Amino acid sequence: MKDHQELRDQIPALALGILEPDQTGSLQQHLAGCPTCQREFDAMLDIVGHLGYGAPDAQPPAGMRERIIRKVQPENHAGGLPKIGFWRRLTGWKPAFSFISLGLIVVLLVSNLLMWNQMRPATGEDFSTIRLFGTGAMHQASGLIVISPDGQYGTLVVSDLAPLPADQQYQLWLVRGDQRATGAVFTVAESGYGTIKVYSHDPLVSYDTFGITIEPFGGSPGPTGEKVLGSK
Amino acid sequence: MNDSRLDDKALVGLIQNADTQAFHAFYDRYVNLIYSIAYGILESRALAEDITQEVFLRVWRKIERYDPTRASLSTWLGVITRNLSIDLARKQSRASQKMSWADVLDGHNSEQTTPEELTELNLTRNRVREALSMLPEEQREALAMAYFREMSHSEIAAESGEPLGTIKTRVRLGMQKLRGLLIDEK
Ligand SMILES: [Zn+2]
Repeated sequence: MKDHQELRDQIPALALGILEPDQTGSLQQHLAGCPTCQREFDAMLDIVGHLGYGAPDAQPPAGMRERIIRKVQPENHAGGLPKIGFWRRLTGWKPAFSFISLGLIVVLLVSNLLMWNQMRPATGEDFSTIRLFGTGAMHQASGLIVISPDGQYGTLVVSDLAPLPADQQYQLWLVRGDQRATGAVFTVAESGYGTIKVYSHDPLVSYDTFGITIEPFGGSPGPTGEKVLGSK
Repeated sequence: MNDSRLDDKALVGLIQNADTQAFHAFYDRYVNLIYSIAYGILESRALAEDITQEVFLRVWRKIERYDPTRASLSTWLGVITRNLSIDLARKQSRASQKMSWADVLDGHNSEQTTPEELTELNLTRNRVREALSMLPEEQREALAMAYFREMSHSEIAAESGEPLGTIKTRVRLGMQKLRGLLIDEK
């Protein structure tokens, strides 16, 4: 058993994330029971946060502000969207209710798509939708792709997908024959909900089927992980 | 009310209520810090933008995860940005080659010293850079390898050709000295 001082000396390395794995466990155990060392750890993590100011100044690319701010919409906000999980618990009426909620969200999406597409009147009648069904461990999940009247643009909305660890993301695949093109790489909110624009080289209506897999953060060139949603 | 004059606590409260204007002010306040950390680790404009976007989307969707009693907002953002950047650097087998701290003079020459809203961030930045410049060279270098590349003690020892014990001491003393310079004077 190592003593307090010996463990305490390892705290800066733990905060930096560079402590050897075989030493991390015993130190974390000690922190849990030692308020002094826990405070020291918080202080060292604060220093790691401060060290960011020591990174050389880099100028963000032109247009980055617009690209990021475009993605920040009230319906993406964890607190600003229908709590599907909560409603479902109230009703106990699972998949059907999810689809009804998704249907309500489509109204929002259609107006989004119209702003994006800016060519069509706001009738919404010509929009087509493709349903995605949960598979395997995520059979309770559901999804919908709303495609613009010209077949070119789409928005994907998913619900009841499990939030993933920081090193993984969901990836949408556009399938034609044996080809798989990337449509989106995304994360979901704590509620399991996400709404994502789908980008593709070809019109979305030209693809046969759509699928979503779990991939390493940033996405993969081709599907490698477990399939969680698919169209039929 | 101009959101750019609100303090962090007020901005966080508004962002929790899905206030997009508050988010814009928040973005303008922190984008340079976040992008610079990501770029320092990844040395790719495209990847640094991906990370910056991910950090801001997390702020938008999960700001309630931030616990103001444990860390300042900029610390929280700095730690998230570094973690995401290092994860991505590993996946892409991409390691920063420069791994260097900004020159302490950069902070004083910065073009961003005029807007009132950035004053506090600028002060912190200058303070951090000055503190780094006060460390012995070998501590500063060991911390750069640890911070930008998350190299372990033994990896730093191998790269610098110094004994493992020496490296452990350098990292620890460097961090403790920074703590004395940066936290105690708050
Ligand atoms: Zn202790």
